[in-house]
Amino acid sequence: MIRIKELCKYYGDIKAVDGISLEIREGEITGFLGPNGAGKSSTLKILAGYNKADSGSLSINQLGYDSHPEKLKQMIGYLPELNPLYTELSVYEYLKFIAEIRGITGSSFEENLKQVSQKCGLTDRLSQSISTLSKGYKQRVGLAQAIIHQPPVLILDEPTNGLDPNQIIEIRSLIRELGKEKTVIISSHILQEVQAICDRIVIIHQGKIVADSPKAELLKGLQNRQSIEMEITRISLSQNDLLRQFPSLQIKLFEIGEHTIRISCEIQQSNDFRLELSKYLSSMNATVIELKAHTYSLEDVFHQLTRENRSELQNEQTKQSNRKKADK
Amino acid sequence: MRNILLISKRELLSFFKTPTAYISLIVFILINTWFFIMPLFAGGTATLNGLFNSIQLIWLVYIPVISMGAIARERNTGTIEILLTLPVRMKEIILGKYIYILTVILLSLLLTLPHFLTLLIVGQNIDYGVIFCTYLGLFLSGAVYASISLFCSTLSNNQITAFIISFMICLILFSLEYALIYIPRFILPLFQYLSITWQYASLSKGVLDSRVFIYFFSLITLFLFLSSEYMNSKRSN
Repeated sequence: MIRIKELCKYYGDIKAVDGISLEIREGEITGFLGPNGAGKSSTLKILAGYNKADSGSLSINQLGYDSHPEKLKQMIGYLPELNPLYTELSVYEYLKFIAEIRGITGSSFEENLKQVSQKCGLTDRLSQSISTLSKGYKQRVGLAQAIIHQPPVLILDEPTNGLDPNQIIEIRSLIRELGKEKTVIISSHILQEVQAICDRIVIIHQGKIVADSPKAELLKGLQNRQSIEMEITRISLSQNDLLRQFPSLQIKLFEIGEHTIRISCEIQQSNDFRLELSKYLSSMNATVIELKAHTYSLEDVFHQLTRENRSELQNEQTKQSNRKKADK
Repeated sequence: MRNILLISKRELLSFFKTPTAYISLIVFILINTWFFIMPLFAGGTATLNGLFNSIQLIWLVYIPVISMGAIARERNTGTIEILLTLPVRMKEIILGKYIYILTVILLSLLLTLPHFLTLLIVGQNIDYGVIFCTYLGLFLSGAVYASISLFCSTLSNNQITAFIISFMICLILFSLEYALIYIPRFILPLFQYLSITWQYASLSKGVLDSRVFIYFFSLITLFLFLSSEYMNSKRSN
């Protein structure tokens, strides 16, 4: 449905979006995840038609902004990051303005308004001035504005930013409900949010896509990875004994103290490794004093991907500065 | 056309929900009434000349004030992002904003209707042609200031900056007339033609000259075009 190819966007010398290519199928809820300044909002702004890309192409149902800008904008509902609103207007006046510009007038407007205000919980707030609404309600107005014309595509830029926990839960369930009938793209820097709402996760870092897969698949690679930290009574045990017993084990720390041995290790297997390890150690007459196991979450994938890239970048920068020094 | 009218309607709705609207309209009418009443009571003459002269001067501040937020405010609050992702063209947005300013100008001129009616009651030898042409001149010079102010509003996110720049440009255009004595004789006609006060003066004599209309309409078109082009260029950056 949505096809993005080699999208690039510069702000001065800074490359905010660096060759993003992506295909999004109809009815998919896609989450753009990345640290602040990763290029998520810039990509969404181009998708929504607010900014123009410097290079690359973008099409929704084979329509592009160059040839059919109005048709394309009509297919999209967009909630910008800071949820800007004409606060001096009432909720009704604001939604009417947006609907009329989108060509929805008269009875079809009243019908859409009824549906949308019910969905967003705004029915008893329609005559209230937007400036007097709480942040949560303002966010609902922003969402209502984005769906008043019943667009097939919904773009939401950090939709739960600045809301309290209850409001976050409400907005998330609203997005999930909207996702049943629409193609939704949301951006967030909150991992749990993307994990809770999306079918597919695209991790963006420094303007590039560093991971893109269905949520389950992204986690699968790490799900069988087990990390264990333990402290046992001191026995005659070496790293090699452990490796002989568990050949695929990666030992990160093996510290022999006065009375104890501290071990930190990682292994990729589906069976519970804690069980195997403690069985083996007790057969060696060691007593387990402490055992900490760590299972991996999306957060770890995120940290790993964004950290790796950062260190790559740092390496490159040091190389460049070394080269400059050598030139001098 | 529908979109243009919807945008100007929304703008007017927002304008009349703020105290700025009422304060500026009240100040406008109070100052003008003063300049109408003064000769009437002190000199015993019923004339609209004082009122027309004061409006000419008030325009320089009044129009930049009502226009400064047109785009700058949208950019400052971020609503421009909503507006530009709606299925409207940049030209329609600019024209919608422009019609809003013209409506406020027209409304302000309508507020001087009681003064005109007073003149009809107490005055003698009224030249309706001259009065009509002067009103037309005031409206057209206001329309030029409006297009300049709208353009200046696209330049900055800050309304005060937009106001200062537009006030300066309008002031230069207005005071060119008074600098004419320093201009060498061979280029005098050019500067005379560029002076808005000179054009207004020739219109308020009651003569409908096509060159005067060309002057007003070309300036209006120029600044509206610049506004739309500047906004488009900002969008791709």
